[in-house]
Amino acid sequence: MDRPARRTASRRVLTAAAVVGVLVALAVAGLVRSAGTDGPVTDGERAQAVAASLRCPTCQGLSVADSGSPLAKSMRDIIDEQVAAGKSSEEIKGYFVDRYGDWVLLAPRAEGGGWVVWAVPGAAVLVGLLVVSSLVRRRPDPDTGAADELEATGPGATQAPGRGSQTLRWVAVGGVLAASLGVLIATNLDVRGEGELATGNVTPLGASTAQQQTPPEDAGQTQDQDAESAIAAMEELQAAVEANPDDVATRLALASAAFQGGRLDVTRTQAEAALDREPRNVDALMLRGLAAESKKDTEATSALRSFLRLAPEDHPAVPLVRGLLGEGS
Amino acid sequence: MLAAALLGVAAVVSVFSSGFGRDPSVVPSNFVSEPAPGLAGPTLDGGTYDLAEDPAKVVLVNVWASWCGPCKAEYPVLAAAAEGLASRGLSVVGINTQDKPENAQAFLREMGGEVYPSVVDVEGRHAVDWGTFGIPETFVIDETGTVRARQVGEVTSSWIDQHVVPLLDES
Repeated sequence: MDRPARRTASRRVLTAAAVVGVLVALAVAGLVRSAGTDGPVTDGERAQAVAASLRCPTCQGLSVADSGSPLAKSMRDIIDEQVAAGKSSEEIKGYFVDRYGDWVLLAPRAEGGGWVVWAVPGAAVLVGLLVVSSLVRRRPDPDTGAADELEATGPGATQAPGRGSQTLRWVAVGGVLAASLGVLIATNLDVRGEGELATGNVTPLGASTAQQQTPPEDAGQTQDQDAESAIAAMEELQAAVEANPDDVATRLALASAAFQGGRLDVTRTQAEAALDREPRNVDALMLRGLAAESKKDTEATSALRSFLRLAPEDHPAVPLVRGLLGEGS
Repeated sequence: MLAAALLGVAAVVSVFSSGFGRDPSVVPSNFVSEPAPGLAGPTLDGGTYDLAEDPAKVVLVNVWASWCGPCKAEYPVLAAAAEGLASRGLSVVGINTQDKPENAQAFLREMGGEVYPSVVDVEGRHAVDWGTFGIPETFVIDETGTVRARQVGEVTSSWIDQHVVPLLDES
């Protein structure tokens, strides 16, 4: 009576082992392939490898190797110099860690608190395997209820509780998981209010110009308020523009509010509409230039150049525009 | 196994929660309460500056560039501090980073003249040496050469009152 049950169970274990074996083999093959066999050989490759392992301080999602920011360029120069001076990759990384902290490393070190990051995935896989293996072993066999007890006496087996208590366990684990996720989300995630930006309310470009005009207070707060009030102002101005499409001043006010609210598309449309009516309006030229979608927006660049040509020397935006065009005075 | 699973859940939640609650753009400085890096070199006005030889009680080091908008907003604050607090032992020095010296000089002319010296840092070496993230950035260094405060972004007069003035009164 025990025998067929046992055979089915061992066949299942064999199948599971085969599946796991294939998965592990594939994973290892993938890792080996992605890691490559040759380390960096030339100085240039080594410098590149170090730069790729460091986070760019100004554009935090990119590595120093990938970033086009001036600071990243300076960092690459320093890396090149230190590589040429014969310093080891670890020494060079240490130089930057001394200045920026462990934060600057894209892959955390497996020491201090950093080991958690390395250990958690491994531990998760291990726990997952344990869960799967116990589920495979404990699956109640229709032929016999004795399989549970039989398998439970095998090596590595834990206690073999009844089905009821097992369900209870999973309910408990699931409950704890759901509860902690709930607490986590409730405590850490704020609802994004109207007009607030997905970037954690770091206002784009417009913030610096907006701040220059307002008395400097608490920077974060002013920015939030600026973005919010800009959105509110936009709605009013939009209505005013629709009522009186030839009023260039209102259009420019809307373009400016949209710029502060981060709606560069609106800024661009309104600035262009204003330029259609008054092609030499310096404020319209400036706003059209600032609403550039990318560096390739040649119309924006030529608008900025026209601005510099036409604007009075004491126009407050002259230095900003010069800076944007990368021109001296 | 239940214990292991719970432990795993707790670990993951604690790691995630510390990350979610944090503003990723704010990174603590490595230098606060630590010795300040060195700063020596030619200045925009043609002289030289060496932080180690600055006799002032408290030194404000400000990383700036002419192309940076907030630098323009904070310049009057720094200039006022340099002029108003010099008698109480404050010295202000700039690091003019990733900038063309002629643009920087034009910036200073426009702002009403150079009130305090700025070390020239065309290549951004000093900026990296000081571990700067963005521009502007300001460091407060006390008599012992220790960084006492750091501000990423524009400084305000209330920030000066809060972080610089008390150090001038320390004996």
